[in-house]
Parts: sequence; structure tokens; C-alpha cells
Amino acid sequence: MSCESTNTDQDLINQIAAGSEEAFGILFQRHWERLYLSASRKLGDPELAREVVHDVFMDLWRLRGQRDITNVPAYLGKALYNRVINKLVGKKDTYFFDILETHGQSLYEADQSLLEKDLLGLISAWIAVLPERRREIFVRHYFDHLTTQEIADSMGISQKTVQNQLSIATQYLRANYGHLLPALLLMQAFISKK
Amino acid sequence: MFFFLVYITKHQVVITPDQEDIEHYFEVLERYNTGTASPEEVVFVERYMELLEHRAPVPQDFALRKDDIGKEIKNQLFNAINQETTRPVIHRVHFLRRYWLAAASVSLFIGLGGYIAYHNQQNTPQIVQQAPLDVLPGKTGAILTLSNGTQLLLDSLGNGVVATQAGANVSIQNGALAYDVNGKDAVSNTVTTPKGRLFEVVLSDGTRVWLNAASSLTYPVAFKGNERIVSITGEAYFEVAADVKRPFKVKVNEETEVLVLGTSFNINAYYDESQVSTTLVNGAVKVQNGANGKVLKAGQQANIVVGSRDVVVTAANIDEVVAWKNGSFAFNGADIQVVMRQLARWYNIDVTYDGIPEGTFSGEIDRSLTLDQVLKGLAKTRIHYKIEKGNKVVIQP
Repeated sequence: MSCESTNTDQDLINQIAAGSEEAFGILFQRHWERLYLSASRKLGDPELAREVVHDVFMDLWRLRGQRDITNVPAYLGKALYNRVINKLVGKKDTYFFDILETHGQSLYEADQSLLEKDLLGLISAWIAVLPERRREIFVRHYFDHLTTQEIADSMGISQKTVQNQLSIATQYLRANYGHLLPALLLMQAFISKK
Repeated sequence: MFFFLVYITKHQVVITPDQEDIEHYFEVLERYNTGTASPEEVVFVERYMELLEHRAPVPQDFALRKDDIGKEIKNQLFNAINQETTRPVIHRVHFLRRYWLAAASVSLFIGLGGYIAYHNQQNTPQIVQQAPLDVLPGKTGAILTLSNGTQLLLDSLGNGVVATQAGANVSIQNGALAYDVNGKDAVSNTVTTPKGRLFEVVLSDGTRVWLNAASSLTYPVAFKGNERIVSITGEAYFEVAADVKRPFKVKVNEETEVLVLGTSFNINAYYDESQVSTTLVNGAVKVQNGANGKVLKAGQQANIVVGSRDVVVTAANIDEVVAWKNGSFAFNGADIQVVMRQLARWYNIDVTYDGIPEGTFSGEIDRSLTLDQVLKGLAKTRIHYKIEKGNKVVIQP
């Protein structure tokens, strides 16, 4: 007989805009767990996750009626990003660089192939946002740690082929930093087809 | 190039990040949050957020602890909301303070000293105990028990039919529970308000009953025969539909009942109050206590001390008596226990006393305030209190 099952998220948002604490409680009950689990995975810290969920809902209450929320899960997802980022900045969390340093080995995930794709996408997106000068240094940094022999061994191809590929790639990167992102995305599509 | 990038995703060599890159990274994150990020930066941040899902597994004991975690966050939120609503609504508190002042200047005295709250408020620092916890006020809601024993929670149901009883539609209309005239049998229903809830019922004859917190009303779905009989516990305000042929009776207990002819009146019969008080707003009622009966005139109150056979009639302060129905508490020379019993029912709190402050209270308080706001108001008259976990309030000397 309670209204929990009958009210849509949108109904609840409208009621919250009108000041209904009850609707707010129901919306919390409906969504907190998903947000908490996501924040917990993203931050690796249940206490911080708790704060994130609290802050997301506190914002929702404080800004009630002031925002045009048409898609509640999308709104909450974005709010979660904002609050998680607050924590990352506040704690000077450099886990992103751990990922880069270890080439994703620090990540926890069963499906490794999916992860590689995501990681590749992330690195290409990172290169795209680096200032031009840093961009070249960053890319070269990665190059420098790889010998052509290592690459050849891992790919099961000849060292000569790798050298040719690298040479082409290096020239390409140097000439086309601005177009790096689309190029990488194309490659990603190619890899996933294979 | 393609080979190279595939390779680096598997490569294990540690690469030390550059400080400049780290700073740039945080700047990008901040720009994302302030909405000033470039499209490329938005893509980067959102890809990172997605990949972060793989940073750590969910704690293994989450399934066991999740109910507690959810409750704790929710409690924190509602505590914060309380404090929120205290601060921004300054104009409202201000209005109330003026209201308090008006009340204070007329009647808010502490005992014989005539100590007016106003001075305390203006001149002396507060000796109020810091209260980190607070309790939200009550609201409308009740439990309906049908004739077969089924219970329905009536909290915040929208308009519409909630049940059918002996042919009568039972529906919510504008927040009140209402019965239509189609009931065939006099099967009995009961509406019960727990602490912290208030509810309105419209009976099949059109009689309106407002139930205060921690009260109940039992009535037939349809009135058959030549009497309309209902019974109550706690406190209720009646506006009885006139029907000369079928007098209306409210049974309070075995001994006490109120006989009504079309009228408006209030009955306060809480088990923890020392007397049953019937206050007539208009019309005519007869209060019967065993063999003794008194007819009340409008503005009069009949008091029956529990266990006594007498019915004592006094002049009543109608506004004070029906204040609860109009959204406030009103006190006129009430001692702290009388005040706290009313607060306990509305805020669903347990009150204990480390000491009993002397003096009496007069004035009116909005029932939509949080407990802490009300107690702070009382604290201005030198009450000391502490709100503890589990809705407990300790009154200190």
C-alpha cells in the first residue's frame, strides 16, 4: 500500500521540488546502493563512498526545484562523477598515473580483453588532452621503455617489421598529434574486430 | 603503430609520472566539475570514470552490512536537512519568534518570577546544550484496520479507493479517509495513528474526525439502527453531522461516553494523561460518566479524573484545546511534563528527566518545527535538554 512502487522517479523529483522529504527518502532508498557500490569501486574506500552518496543526495535536496531533471539515473550518475572527482582532487589521488605506470596491471577485472580496450581508449583520450609540448614527451616516454625486440617477441613478428611499424608510427604521431585521438579510436575498432 | 599500442597495454615497465602532467590532470578534473572542460577533456574524464569501476572490488561483507549503511547515510541526510531547514528559513523562524514574543509578552512566564523569554533571548548568552541530533516533526498518516484484520498503511497515499468494506468504497480524498453511503453491514474498521502521525476520517454519515497522534478511532462502516456509536483512544476532534433521529455517541471507556447532537468538540483521553477532557466548540453534548452526566455549553470543558465518578465542568480555552488540529501546540500554565507528553506523541520520542524544571509554560508553538527548534524555544525559558540517539530526550535540571 505504500507509494514506493507506484511513483516513478519523475514523480518523486516533482514531489521533492515541492519539498517532500518523504519522496526524497524513497528516491534515496531506490538509488543509494547503486551509487554507493560505484563510488566504492571507483575510490576503493567505503568511507569515502559513504560521503559521496551523502553529498550527492544532499545536493539533490538543496537544489530541489532549481534544476530541470528529466532523467534521474543520468542526473545521479553525473552527480556521482562530480562528487567522486571532488574526492580525487581533495585527496590528491594519483591513481590514474598508477594505471599508466603499470599499463593497467593495477586494475581489478576478470575480463582482461575488455579492460585493454578501455585502457587504450583512456590513454588515447589522455594524449588528446595533454598540452602539445607534453603530448610528445608523454608519447616518447612510452616508446623509450620498449625495445623493438620486446615488441617483436610479444607480437610474434620479426624485429624488422616492428622497426618499420614504429618508424611509421613515430613519424605519424609527430606529424599528426592533433589527429591522434581519432587515429587511436580507429585502431581500437580494428583491434576489437580481430 | 597499432602493434606498439597493443604492446604497451601489456607492458609492465614502471613509468614515473611527471609533476607537470599530474598538475595538468587535476586541472582537467576540476574543469570537468566546474563545467569549463573542453570536449576532449570531458571524453577523457568520463573514460577514466568508467575505467575506475575496475579499481577495487566491492567489500565482501557489503551484502551483510548494506541495510545498516543505507540507514546510516539516510539518517545523516535527514539530520542535515533539519539543520538546513532551520537556517535558510530565517524569515519563518523570525515570524515565529515574533509570535513567540507576542505570546511571551502576554503570557510566557516562568513560575511566579515573571521571567519573560524575550529578555533572555536578547541579553544573555544561551545556556542551551549543543544538540547534534534532532527529530523531525510528525505528519499525516495512519493505519487502517479492516473488519477482517487486514492492516493498510495510509501514509501519503494519493487520492483513490483503498479498500471495499461491506459494499462501501473506502477512499482517500484530499488526505482524509472517507466512506461512501453504500455500506450494507455495520462491520467495524479502526484507524490508528502512531506517535508522530495525524489523520482525518470522514465517516459514512459525513461526520469528520481528526485523530491526534497516538490515538485510534473505531467505527462501523455503515451506521445501522437508531444510534451512531464510535469509540476512541487518545485525542480526537469531532465535527458530527447533524441527524436528530440518530444521536451520535463517542465511547471513551467503559464508564465514559459523550452523547452528541450535531456539534463540534474535542476529546482528550490519552491513557497517560490524568483525566479525560471533553471540550465543546459548538452545538450540544452530554458527557456521561457512569451514572453522572453533564450537558456542556459551547466553550465549556468537562473533565473526568481517571477513576473518579465526578464530571467537573470548567470554562475552556478553545484555541488551546484545538491547537493541535490547526497545526500547533498551545500551552497555558502547563508544567514541563504536560508539555513533554504532547511533544513525545508528535515527535515519537521518549522523555526522561534528570531533574524537573520549575515553572509553567504558556504560549503556542508550530507543530511543523523540528524537535530541536521547539526545544530551543523552550530553552529560552531556561529548560536544559539533550537529544540522544534513538529519539530520546533528557530534560536536565
